[in-house]
Amino acid sequence: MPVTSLVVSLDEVGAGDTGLVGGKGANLGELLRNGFPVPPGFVVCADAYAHVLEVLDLGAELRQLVVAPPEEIEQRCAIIRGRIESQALPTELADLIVAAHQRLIENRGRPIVCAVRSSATAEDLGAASFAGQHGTYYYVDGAHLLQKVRQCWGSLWSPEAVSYRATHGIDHASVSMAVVVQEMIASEVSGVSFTANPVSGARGEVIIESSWGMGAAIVDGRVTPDNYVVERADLRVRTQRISDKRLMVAAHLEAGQSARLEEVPNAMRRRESLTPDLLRTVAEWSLKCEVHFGKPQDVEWAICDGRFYLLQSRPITVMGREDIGRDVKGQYVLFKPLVENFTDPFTPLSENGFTLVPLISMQPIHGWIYVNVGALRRLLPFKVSAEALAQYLYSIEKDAPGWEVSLVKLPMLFVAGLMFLLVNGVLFLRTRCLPDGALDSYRALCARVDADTTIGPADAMVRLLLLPKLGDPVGNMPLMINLSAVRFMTRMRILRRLVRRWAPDVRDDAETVLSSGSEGVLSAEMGRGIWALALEANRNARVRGILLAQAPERALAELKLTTEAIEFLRSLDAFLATNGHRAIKEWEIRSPRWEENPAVVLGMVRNYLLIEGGPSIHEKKAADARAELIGELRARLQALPLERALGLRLRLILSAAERVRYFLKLRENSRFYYIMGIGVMRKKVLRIESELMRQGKLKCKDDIFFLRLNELLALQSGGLQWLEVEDRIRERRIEHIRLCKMGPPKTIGVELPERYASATQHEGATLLQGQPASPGAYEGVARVILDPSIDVELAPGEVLVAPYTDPAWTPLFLTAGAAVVEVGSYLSHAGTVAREFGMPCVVDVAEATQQIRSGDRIAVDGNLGSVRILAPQDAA
Amino acid sequence: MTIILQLAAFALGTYLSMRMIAALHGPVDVWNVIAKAWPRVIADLIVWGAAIAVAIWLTDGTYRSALVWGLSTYLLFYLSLLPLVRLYVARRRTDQDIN
Repeated sequence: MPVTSLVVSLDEVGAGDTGLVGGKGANLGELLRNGFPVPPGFVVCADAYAHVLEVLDLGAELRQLVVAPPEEIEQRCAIIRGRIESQALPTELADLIVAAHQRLIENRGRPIVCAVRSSATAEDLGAASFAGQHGTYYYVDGAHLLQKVRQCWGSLWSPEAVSYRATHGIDHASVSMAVVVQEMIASEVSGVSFTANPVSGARGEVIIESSWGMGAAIVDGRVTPDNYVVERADLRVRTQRISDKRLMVAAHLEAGQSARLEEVPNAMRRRESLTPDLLRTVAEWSLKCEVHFGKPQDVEWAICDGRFYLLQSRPITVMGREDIGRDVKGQYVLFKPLVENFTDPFTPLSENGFTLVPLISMQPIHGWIYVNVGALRRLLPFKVSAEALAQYLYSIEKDAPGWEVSLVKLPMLFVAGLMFLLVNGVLFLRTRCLPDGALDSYRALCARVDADTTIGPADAMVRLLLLPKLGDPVGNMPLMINLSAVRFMTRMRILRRLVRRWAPDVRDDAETVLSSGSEGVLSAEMGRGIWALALEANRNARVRGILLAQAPERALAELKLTTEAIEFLRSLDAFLATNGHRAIKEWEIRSPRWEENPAVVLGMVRNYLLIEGGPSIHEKKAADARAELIGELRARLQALPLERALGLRLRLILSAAERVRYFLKLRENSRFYYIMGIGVMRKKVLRIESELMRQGKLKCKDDIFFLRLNELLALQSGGLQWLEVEDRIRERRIEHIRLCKMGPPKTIGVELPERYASATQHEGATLLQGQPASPGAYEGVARVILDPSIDVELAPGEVLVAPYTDPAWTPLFLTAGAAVVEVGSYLSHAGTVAREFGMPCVVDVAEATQQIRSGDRIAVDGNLGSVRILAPQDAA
Repeated sequence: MTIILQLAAFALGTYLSMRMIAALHGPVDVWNVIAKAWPRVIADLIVWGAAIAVAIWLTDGTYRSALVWGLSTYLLFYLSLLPLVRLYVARRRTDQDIN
């Protein structure tokens, strides 16, 4: 191949040509010339880019960029990009590209469209992936080819790519860009595969993700793909998770259709996108890529007419959790009460919305909320190390820490405490004994704010969650009430002290048993509501049959066509009228609410249909335990002076327990309401989304959640256009997916002593250690559930293994024999519900959903906080 | 001793002010269930209103001044919280900042 070539055929290049055709081009060429099924194409070489730069004479602009302060980077980049993208290509180069494109068409024998893909010369270096930072354009016809080539070059100068190079110490001048032009594959199924686990680095498995249509939707996170874990040794499927694939990027456009992202037909949504044969083919080709390149590969592929095509293969860039906060200064620990409810990071829109909330000593980092340990340590009047404080904040244990008081800090604490009381005193007094139903007016307020089209999402957030408006009822303050209800913790400590002082030998979880069983807890009412729906379904064999036989979405569609289901659907509507604002991951504005997708509720109803008894069995069990404990306490206390005559101690204990119950209920119920406020914000965002899509300013549903509030406003006002936000959205989506897969690091800038080894072998079984959250021991079959809207089935008696839980998971606890949760604390939702239902529960079990597989037999010890994965002989 | 008692009177005034403001919030707080909650709301208003009146009646001279200062200072402090929080939230808002 002549080294001065500006345009070369893809099969002319190989692994050694990175400097000329970039990492992607070199890899694809290498694969194509070695017989891998890569779509044909050509490469506009890096020399062509260098030639264009020379013609444009960008030296001054590049020098200015290098010395520009951070706030000017964006502006400098825009100037460079603008010059590259607006200038016509030199005629000689343009002719070469058009001729190569023509040859591609001639070889195929029919008109084709192409994929135009950036291939930077520093791309896919071992330590830097540049994932999603450089432009890729699909379905490009001859008329737009040159323009897209210029845009690919321009993408080398996006602010994000420039910052990324700066962070990784890559000299701007050393990076050049080639552009790969390939025939577009009209994929029926596509996906990505990893020949090693990209998060843990485990080499014994191949991870395959696939979905309908084009793979772009997977890469930028628009769909949740099917996930298969295949054994490397024999290509046996170890686990598979078929997701609800609601959207796909269509391979063909129908006449008159402009948006590529379309709804997947109902019948295909939950169907496996890969047959066993195709799965094997994908795994085999992926492993062949690894063998060829000699290291684990991240492979993009597509299936068209039953034929496998390789679209890209590059080394896996393994990035650990510890890398997430590397660019952050200070010491932080994850804010556990939030992450216990969902472990994914907030989308940019949600994160931006929540930064309005004045949370002292807290900081959003990459979408997760962290507590600033350093700042908090300065405020607290204790002699405590950052590590110990981080450990305490992360563990949230029921016992108070025994830290030594710092006398120097006491005056400051006194002043801070006084200010706190003065600011919050009235709120505390107002919420001392709010009657049930007092917050119900919040629903009407939400409806009013929702109906008022002059109120935007941010204003709605402020009005409904932060600032009371004079004349609004108390309902506009549920978030404040929720925060004030953390008083239950001090009341719980008082209760514990009283119990331990007068009855030290009573059961260890006495105070939690005493403080359970409140009447009027709305999330418990919600559970009862679902149970009532199950009873309604049970009354009609046809309804019951549909619910049990069909996946929830199909069941809903079928029920709507069935006259016998009218009563059931009416009850469902009534349930949704009260609880429809709830959702899985309900803090996240992006999460669809139940009223939008009632199929989730049907999944829970279906779960209830599988069990006998109902919630009342658990409630009775808990009530019996409480009554028994009170009896035991009475008997023990009567041995103390004057207790038999006056019963003062027991009354004091029961009164303290009543206060704990009240504040716990207030906390839970206020959450029920403020989630309604988040629902209103979502509705407003969806309305804006639909308007922006109608105007062509947004092209894809769900993209809006990857914008910030100011960008949203700018799109509405015309200050920003689609082309200016397209890249941002794609990059943020890719980053979001990456972070979701990794999960949050527990700490940043401070070492948390590892309390538990991740997994050890003990007497032939794998032992996982966590934190006890609900006492008792149980042995049963594990069921790993990652998303309760997808994996709705939990057979009675199975052990629920989950990454986190929130109220939407509650119905699963009814059928479970025990629960094991990756994130959590004694006070987390999982622990609270498990204690309420009297089932063993272990939380904070690192990597439980990866170590335990569905079908494993496990032994859960809620007293010791351990989980044993039993060897087959033990299980037998 | 006088100073200490004056401080105590001021603190009592602050506390009573806090309770009275909370009691005044009562009707709005429980408006949705006012039919069953009104006796408690009225009782709170009467009890804390009376407590203030009695405290003022029982004290005199500098102690009464300190008590009234406590009452009014907290009321002003409380009323100033809302605009301060509004200012704080407005400063945190970035949604208007298009750049």
